[in-house]
Amino acid sequence: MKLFKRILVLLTVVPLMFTTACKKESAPRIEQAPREEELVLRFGQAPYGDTLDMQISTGSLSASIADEVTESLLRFDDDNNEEVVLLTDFPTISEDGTAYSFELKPGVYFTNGTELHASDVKFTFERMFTPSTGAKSYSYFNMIVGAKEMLAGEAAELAGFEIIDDYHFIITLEYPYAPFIENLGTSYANILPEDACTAAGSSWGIDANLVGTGPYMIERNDPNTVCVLVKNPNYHGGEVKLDRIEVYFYADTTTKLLAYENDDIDVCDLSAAMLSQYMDAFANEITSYHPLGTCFLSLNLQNDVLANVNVRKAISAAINREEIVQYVLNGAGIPACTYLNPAIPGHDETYGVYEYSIDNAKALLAEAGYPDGVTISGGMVRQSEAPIAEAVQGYLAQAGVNLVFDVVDNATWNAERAGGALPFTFVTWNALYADADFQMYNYFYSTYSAGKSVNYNNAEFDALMDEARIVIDATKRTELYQAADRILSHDDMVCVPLYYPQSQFLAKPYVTDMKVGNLIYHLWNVGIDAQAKASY
Amino acid sequence: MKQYLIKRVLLAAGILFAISIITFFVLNIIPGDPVALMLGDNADPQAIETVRHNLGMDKPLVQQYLEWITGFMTGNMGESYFQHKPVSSMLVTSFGYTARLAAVSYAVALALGLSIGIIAALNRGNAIDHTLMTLAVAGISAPSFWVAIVLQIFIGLRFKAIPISGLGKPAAYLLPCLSLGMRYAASIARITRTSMLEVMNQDFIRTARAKGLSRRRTVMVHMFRNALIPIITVVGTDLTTLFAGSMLTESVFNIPGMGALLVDNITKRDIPVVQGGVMVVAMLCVLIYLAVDLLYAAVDPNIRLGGDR
Amino acid sequence: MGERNRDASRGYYQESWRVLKRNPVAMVCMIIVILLTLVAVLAPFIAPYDPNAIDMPSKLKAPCPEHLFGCDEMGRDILSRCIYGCRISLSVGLVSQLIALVIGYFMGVCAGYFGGKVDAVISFMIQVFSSLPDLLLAMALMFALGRGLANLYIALGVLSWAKTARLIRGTVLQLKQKEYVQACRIDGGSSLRIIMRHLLPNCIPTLIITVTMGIPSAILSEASLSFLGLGVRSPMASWGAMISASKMFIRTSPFYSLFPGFCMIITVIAFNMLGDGLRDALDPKLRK
Repeated sequence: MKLFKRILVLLTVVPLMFTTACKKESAPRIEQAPREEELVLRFGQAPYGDTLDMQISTGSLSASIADEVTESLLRFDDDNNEEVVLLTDFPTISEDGTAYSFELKPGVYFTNGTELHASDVKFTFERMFTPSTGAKSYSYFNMIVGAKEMLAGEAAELAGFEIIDDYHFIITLEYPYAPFIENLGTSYANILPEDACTAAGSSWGIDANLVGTGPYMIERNDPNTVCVLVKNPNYHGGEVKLDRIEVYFYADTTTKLLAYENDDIDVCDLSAAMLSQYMDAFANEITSYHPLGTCFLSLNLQNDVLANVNVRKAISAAINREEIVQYVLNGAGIPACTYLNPAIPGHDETYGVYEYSIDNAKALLAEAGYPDGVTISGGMVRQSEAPIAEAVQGYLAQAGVNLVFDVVDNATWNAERAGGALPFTFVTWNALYADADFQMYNYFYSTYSAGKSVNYNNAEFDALMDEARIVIDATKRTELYQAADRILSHDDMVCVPLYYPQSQFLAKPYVTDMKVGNLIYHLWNVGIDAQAKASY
Repeated sequence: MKQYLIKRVLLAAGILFAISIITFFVLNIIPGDPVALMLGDNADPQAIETVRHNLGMDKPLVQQYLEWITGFMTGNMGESYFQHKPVSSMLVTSFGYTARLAAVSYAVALALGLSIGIIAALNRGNAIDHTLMTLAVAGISAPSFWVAIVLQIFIGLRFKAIPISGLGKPAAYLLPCLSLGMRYAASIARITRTSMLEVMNQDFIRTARAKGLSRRRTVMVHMFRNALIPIITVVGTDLTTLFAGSMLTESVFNIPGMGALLVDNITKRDIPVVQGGVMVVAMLCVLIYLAVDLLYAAVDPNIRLGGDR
Repeated sequence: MGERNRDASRGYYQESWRVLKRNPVAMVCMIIVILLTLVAVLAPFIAPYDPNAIDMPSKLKAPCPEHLFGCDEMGRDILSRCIYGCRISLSVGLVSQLIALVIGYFMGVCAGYFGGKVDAVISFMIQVFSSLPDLLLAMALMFALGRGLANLYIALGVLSWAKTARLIRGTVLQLKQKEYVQACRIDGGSSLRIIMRHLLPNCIPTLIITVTMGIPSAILSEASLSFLGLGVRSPMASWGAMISASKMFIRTSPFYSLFPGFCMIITVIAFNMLGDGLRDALDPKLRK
């Protein structure tokens, strides 16, 4: 037996040596031991994708990082109220509501050393409207005079942007547009340094190629593993509490949460589906909040079966929203009673939760000509909405509606939906700020609804949308949106609202002031209590 | 020998060429449009056309392929649609992770597999043999991602020093390499045992023993050498599947290797990246098969070169 | 050729059966396989509940007398889902391997029988397919075809034809040298006749072994594809889909993951060991 022991030893030792050799050359080590006095926050989230350029990306995952580095003129605070960032005050608006005058805060520097001037703001918008940029969110700003010409490739300069001097400029709109100042506060309007951005070209936003005026700057960034942010020593808003923020990327939620449990990270988000696993053991470390969204079943009105309003109402009646929230979401949500989220002006509080009644559903189906049930096939669902889709499928089966769908990847889903012929899908549509225009216009207005595979075309609804866009009076706007929502989600039942989501994150007890806005993490105030961490 | 070598290399090149054609056309016919993903829901047709033109996607497929293959031959694999980075640099990074994961895992697998196989063969028929072989079969039969998750929870969470994911610290190698290695250890153990047994029964071993050679020498020199051919085959096949098959393990342990790269980019339809990735993996496979064939020739001169086998 | 007469005949199969019967492990596995087949066929009669009926209040209920295996995240009975999952897993294994068998046999026979250019082309195709990484190829096919059971059959079938073809080609090359095949050729027997009458029966042992050994790997591939979100359509239950869904609940409800996991492991072990036994019985020399 001695011999075999030797063989065994040999067989174990050789690979071990190999292993150690391998490890030595293992290139960029992710964890570099920080200096002892350094305050470092380790934040875990899903990979943000390809770019931190918020003109190209629309995701909150990108925004959570990009907003620490680049800033917009105004922004939304933790309670979704707008505040000025790069301006001395809110802009003044002309009598007719089309000309906005701005004054930049003097002495604001980008981290590459150049000072923020009006020309950078102008550059930012011109870049957004240049077709080759491929900007996704230009539609929130294309009411600026000259934007359409630039988008069509007919102009190289933005006519509606007038530079007075380095710190003053005027933006002119084609028509009064109520939510313009709000739109300026979104990440999509983050102000970019003209020289650095031009120099980076198409690689702007990729890896560490992002420079701004924000509280942190990117030290290094690998979108697959970790993004390291370090303190901006010259931040115009005062010193931040942390030296570094390390954002670790986890593609798998289960793994991310296990990493949190294992103390590999200090903060991470916690999805509703995983809540049941953590809500008891980690109750003290969970913070929950309500983003401004609605999860709904999006229906295509050109589908033979779904064209019938009674079928749509039957679907709604067959879904037990309370149960879905309680069991599928583990309580992380509010059962829907109308389309607009309760925090958005225009949400009508008089509605109760949509009534769940299989009998009603069956009666409505019979009325629609399907007494023996009906099959609706061809739907597509993204992985993120698959659990809710499966639950809804289960409920509808009880009423005799056989919902057939495939779970597909984003590329397929996007292409199919944009084609306008997708019969149904599930969507969680989040507003950027508490305004119904974003939530309704971009999805259900006749010219946009084909691109969402909804194909809704109701002149009355469109008229309400148009009117609400130009009315500045808040009460009047609220009334208009209430009327529009009634048509949308009750009379016509164009979509079947399911619930208003709740989001939550986990943070170790030594993490202070961890805040999140509307799905976007606000890391500019976050700190670490070194003593508490040491005794943790 | 020389002729055989040339023939074999030419064949390998032909296979790669065929694979490049298949991959290219399959990737281009699967539904889903990267440009639609790039520009979002409200993109106007004009903008879509412009982007398609800029990416060269409006050219006929055959022309696109020819341009790609000429680029590939000269070492240019194109640029990622979404990240605007050279595909080659992305592949190098990802491959680094996969190679490290695969190398350590396979080292673990070889160590475990060979020792278990040899021990089982020498204990043929008794309890040790049965236990080891049952374990080996179970090792092949469990889905690797399931083993990975179980390891994370039952080992990873118990010991805080072992990171749950990534390959950042040396200790982080433990779980992924164990879960990936276990599977291959099982198949190596099985084949080692079988081959050893076959060889043990052959005359020359008996002769060697009868000649008074020590047991150790018999095992080490004769038996092992002769059992090597089937083992080489298995190792070869394993290595090829290891590179592609680490995909699930990479996903569970959050390792940004080739698997993650391919899955990620196929869902985005970042075709140049996927095309390049498949070519690299295929190239590796073909090279390994080539190496295995040549090793056969080296280990066993009885194998007729170039003939039907 | 082996010591025994491998030309298919009643005697040959009787002899093989005797060898197999003497192998207790293989026999136990065979019984398990038969039981699993029965479960799959009789699923609607033995499953205690509708596998797709949701019952939210029973969410993740631990195993109890009413629900022996407990309930999943939508309150569906896990036992019933495992029983129906057996159907899916076995059918995925069997159908995909039959597809592989038909393609593989046809290609292998053509290559071995006709030789020359036909052989060169087919051998090349075999090499191309075996150089493509399995899972990647299956993924690409699932992307191209879309999710669903039928597509799963096709994707996994296409995945494994090359292996069958290679083995058949080898067998046919050897058979071709046999006197009676040579004689039939000289007599002017048509190729089709020779392929079907003389070659097919002699290839059957090889085919039985490849199918038996191919089933477990197809079952595991299905699990991998499910894990990547490319498996069967919901609400259909497959073991792979159940295991990957249970991943999120493994900390608090490990039973959800363990039951389908064990079902899969037992099935795969049974087929693997039965395959080993069959190989020993049918052809001791037919090894890698």
